[in-house]
Amino acid sequence: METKVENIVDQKDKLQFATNEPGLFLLNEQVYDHGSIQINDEEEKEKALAGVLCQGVQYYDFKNVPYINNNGLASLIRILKASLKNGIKLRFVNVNKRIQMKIKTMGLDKFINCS
Amino acid sequence: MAGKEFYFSKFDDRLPYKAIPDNKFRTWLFQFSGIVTIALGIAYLNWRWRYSFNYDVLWFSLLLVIAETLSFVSTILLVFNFWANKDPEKTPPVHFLSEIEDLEGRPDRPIKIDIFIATYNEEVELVRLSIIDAKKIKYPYPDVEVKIYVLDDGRRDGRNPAKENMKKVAEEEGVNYLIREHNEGYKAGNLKNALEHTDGDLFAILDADTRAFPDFLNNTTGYFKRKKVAWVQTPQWFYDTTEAEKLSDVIISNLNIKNKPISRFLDFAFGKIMVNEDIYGNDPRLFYDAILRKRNFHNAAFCCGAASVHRREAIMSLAVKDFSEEILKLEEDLKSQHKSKKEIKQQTDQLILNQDVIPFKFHASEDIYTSIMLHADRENRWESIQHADIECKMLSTQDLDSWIKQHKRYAEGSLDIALKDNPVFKNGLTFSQKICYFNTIWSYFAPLWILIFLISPIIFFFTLNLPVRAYSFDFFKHFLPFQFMNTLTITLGCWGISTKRGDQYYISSFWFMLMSLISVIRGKKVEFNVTRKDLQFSNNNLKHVIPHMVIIALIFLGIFYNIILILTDHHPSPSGFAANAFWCIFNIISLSIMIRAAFWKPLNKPATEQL
Repeated sequence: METKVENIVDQKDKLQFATNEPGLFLLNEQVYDHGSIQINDEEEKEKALAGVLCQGVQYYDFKNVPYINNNGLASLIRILKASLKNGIKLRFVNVNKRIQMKIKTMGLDKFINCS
Repeated sequence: MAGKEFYFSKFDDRLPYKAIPDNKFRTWLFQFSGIVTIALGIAYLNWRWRYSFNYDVLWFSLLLVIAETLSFVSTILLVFNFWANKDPEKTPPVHFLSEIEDLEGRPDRPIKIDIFIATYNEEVELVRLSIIDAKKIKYPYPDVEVKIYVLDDGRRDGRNPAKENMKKVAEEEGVNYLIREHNEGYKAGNLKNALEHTDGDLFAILDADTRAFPDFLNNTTGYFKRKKVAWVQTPQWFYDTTEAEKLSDVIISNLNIKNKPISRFLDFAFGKIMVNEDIYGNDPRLFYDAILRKRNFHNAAFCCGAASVHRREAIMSLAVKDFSEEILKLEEDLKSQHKSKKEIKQQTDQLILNQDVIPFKFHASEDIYTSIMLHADRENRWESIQHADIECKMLSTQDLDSWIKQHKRYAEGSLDIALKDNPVFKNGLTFSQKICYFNTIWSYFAPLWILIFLISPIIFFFTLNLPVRAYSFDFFKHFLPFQFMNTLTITLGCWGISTKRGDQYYISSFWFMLMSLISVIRGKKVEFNVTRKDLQFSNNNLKHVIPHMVIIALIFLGIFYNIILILTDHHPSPSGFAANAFWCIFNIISLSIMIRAAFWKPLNKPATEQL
């Protein structure tokens, strides 16, 4: 599954964002400008959270995201809502254990699909 | 336009009060006095319930003793609330993120602070004053970003020429401007919108009329080095409370006396007596410097909105958790109804779409409700701080109608929480937090016993039946020591703070509080109303004091009737009359403050200055 996603990320220029809902772009703004989800390597930012759509599933690659706070979780919820509104499934991949634990602690693991 | 004159401009030089210094000896004395008061109160009520009933009018005896018992619960709660003072240690302002939260592998950076100025329909030039003062807020570290945002829920961005242009003022002052296209959630919704569009690690909430002092952030952000501190509330200081007026001026003005010799005489006779200072009882010092500050000891000081600073992580953790709990609750409900997986998925997805991530509870009393929820968070164990010193100045309501609307909202909001999500039964709160929140809610039930205290002497005047067997030595032997110690305990608890107006308004607020109680019990929706802070004199004032005037009229009528009975030797209990008449003096003084407030208008020019 991870390999497949890597391929998708590599082809991201050919793919499109799932929706024009502000939630999705808000995430990008928040990630990059506001630091709610902090990425260590500045150059990796663009790649890090590029949302890509593949066969009705919107993927977000978290491989360069070491940490998420509650404000970031609120952003994920907004993305989830935007995706649902457009009938698109959502999947966060390459999510590290710490973030997975945070998502679980906050009770979001039942409806935020991450691996 | 920045130099526009307001009614409060003349008060600009007023200086705030200094917080009462902590004193361990006084605290011990209070604790001793409080314990003795409770012991004497129990002894008094024991005697009242067992030996003092007048069985000829059992209903009257019972009514009064129930009121006294309920009132005694307030005394116990007061002793608990005031038990000790625990001002948190002051520390220098925060510089780096690592000082306020664990980085968990992230690189460090200077913190970011947002200042929110929430507005709806206030005059834009008034908001400009708050913006100007916010811009003067100092911070010792130049690399710390402090951004100011005007949160305009009135959508005064120039689209409607009939409205003032708030956006233009924000642009002129060089601060950020945020609006939304609806007013969902009122102030809490406005803050939600702001939090979605900003990124400060800490954020300060100011109302449209809240003018922060330059050291506001310097003196408050240091507390967040304690990583469990969710918010810091500073006292709300109203710097525009009404000035004291010479009694002679009030008489001359109200009676429209033009005759100079009479005016001179009145000035000679009454010129030294000052009245009408803080006629609306707006000075909240008792609340902030005593009640809320002493809740630091119990970690139960609640947020009051304006003049507070918050940790974004804390408020967002609440928002995210609330969101997930709502969804999971629905899922559990559906599972218990044996719905199919497909149905469960459909319905939960629908709820996810409809449910919002709400940082501050959408409620008329969003501040206290959000505080309860944060205190009840068992995983994070958030702490609150009531900062002792004044860091902002604000405007108070300037007529009785606005004052009552504001306080009705507080009462209805708190009572609504009590009925729907009572903190006493809330999992996660500590025992002392539950007691402190119960204390706040209990205070809104006060009209139940205050009404009985107000009408009891009147019942006596017209039925000539005492609610006790007799106002004998036995009665005073039990009653006076308790009353004396009660007064001493309150004096020690509120040391250095005048409680005169507070006491008067506690009694005279009985009517609107009773109406609030009835309204909430009947399930009427609590409405959010924006408090008017401009100088205006509503014609609605009179309706609020009709019950007060009726009670005072009945008292005078009753006294007159009883005097005739005494003079004609037909009164069965002259000592009972004396005791009740004395009691009524206190009632009249308390009730009359609201009547005076209803009719009060500032003197244009002190009459005696014209002599």
